[in-house]
Amino acid sequence: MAKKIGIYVERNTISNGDQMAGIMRFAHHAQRMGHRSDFLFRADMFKIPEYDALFIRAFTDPLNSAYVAARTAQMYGVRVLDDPDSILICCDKVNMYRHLMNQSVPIPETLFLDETQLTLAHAQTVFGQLGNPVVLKAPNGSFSMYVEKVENAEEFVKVGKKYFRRSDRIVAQRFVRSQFDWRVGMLGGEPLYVCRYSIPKKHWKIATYQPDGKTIYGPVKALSIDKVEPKLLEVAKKAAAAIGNGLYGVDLKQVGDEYIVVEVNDNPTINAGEEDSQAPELYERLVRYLVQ
Amino acid sequence: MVFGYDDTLDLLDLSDLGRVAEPQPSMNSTLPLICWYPQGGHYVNLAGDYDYLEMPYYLSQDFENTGRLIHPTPKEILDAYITPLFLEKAKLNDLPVPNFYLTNGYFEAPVVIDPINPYIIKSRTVLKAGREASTARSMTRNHTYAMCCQEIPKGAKIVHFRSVLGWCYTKRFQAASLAIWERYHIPLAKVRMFALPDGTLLFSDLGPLPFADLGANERHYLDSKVQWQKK
Repeated sequence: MAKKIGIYVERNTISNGDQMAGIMRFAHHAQRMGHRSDFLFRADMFKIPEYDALFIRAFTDPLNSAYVAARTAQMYGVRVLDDPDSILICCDKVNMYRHLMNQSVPIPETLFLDETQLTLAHAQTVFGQLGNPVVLKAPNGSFSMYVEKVENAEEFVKVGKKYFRRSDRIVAQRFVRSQFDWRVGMLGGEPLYVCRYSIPKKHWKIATYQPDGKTIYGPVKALSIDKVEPKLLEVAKKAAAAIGNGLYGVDLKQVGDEYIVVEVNDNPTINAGEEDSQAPELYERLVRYLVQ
Repeated sequence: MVFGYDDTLDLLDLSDLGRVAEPQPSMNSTLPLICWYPQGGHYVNLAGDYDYLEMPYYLSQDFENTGRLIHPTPKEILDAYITPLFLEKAKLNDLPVPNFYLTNGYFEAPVVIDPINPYIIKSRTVLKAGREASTARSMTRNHTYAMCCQEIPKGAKIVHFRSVLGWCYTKRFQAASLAIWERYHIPLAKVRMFALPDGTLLFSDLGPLPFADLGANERHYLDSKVQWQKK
């Protein structure tokens, strides 16, 4: 039976050509499978209860309107990606790492700090426990923002002070060096796509924000799910299951033969020609998940 | 469900609150303010100000993540503090609300505007036409974020009350206060309502009521309902 799928977008989504092209491919597949898909903007929020499913392609922080869309859909029994419960976990790194820890998912050694621990003396304790350098993360950063590497107590206090303006807890984590991050897209507990996000030369994370406003990204290489090591997919599955049963982008680093999870993202990027290039069924599976 | 009030009584606004109960010296703010609520068989977070990612929010999250039943949960906090969700939840629970809509900029006075963005907290009331464009620009950070507009019905007055575990010192808000606790599970809140000329009350918004701001009567009421340590 034909279903009505709403695609909730915001202007940041529209301004990104590759992301928009990915959404158009989703819409095309939905129609080809006999369903109707409509774009919904903020002013259309009141229409959400009229739909059978909602696919959110916007910045999902709980203090932004995309969360209102997700939660409204859930309140009215509309099947939604991303569901608000996943957003609540993934958009707060403290909550996200706690869920991963509770399910014994391998992650870099992690501490949660409150403001009373932001002292030069405590910095030494943290370096003693996690090694040097330490990665500090504000809980509500995304796209590698508000993630910094600190190498001495003064930097620890300076960066920590900046992050405590955003929240009352922050994350301190052991630094794990790598040349690329694995990204495993997961949907309903199963792998959807696999990519390798390379880290740009002379940098240590996949996106680096320059003082002049430019952002440096490394190249993205998609791989077929059946061509990657099963162990990578196993760890990604375990990480996704610790969060929920929706759509996630699980970021992992490879250390020797082991994989450790550095983050689980809700609303993962799905750009045309990148994430979808080695996953021919990606859009069909998204549609099927939403209308089931 | 209709929430009415006795229109022979003066409307209560925030300036009246000092009269209701004198604020007491605040408790040590480093205390977690978590107590046991025997009537419900769960813990209750009485910090009163549950803003996202602040310590009281994290305390509720800690309890939830360790499998202990507590109210409000982080999800309940957002359902109550994000105005359009507060209103949707009210609608689904048959609580009366004004007409409302989300917008990036366009609206028509008279409205109460609540921001939906991480940088602005304060709401704004626009009663007359003329400054919509500049107000929208400022409330949305130049149309980057959304805002929620509630139409103010003709003759309506904006009133507030303090809700303490479903109880309110002022009798006319008792039923509304009970609804806030039963449907939203927010123990301490300042609630904004629209009072219509016919006596009907419309739910409009819910905001923080820090424990430290409670008056003697309110603390006395809490003491009769909660145990500060689980027995």
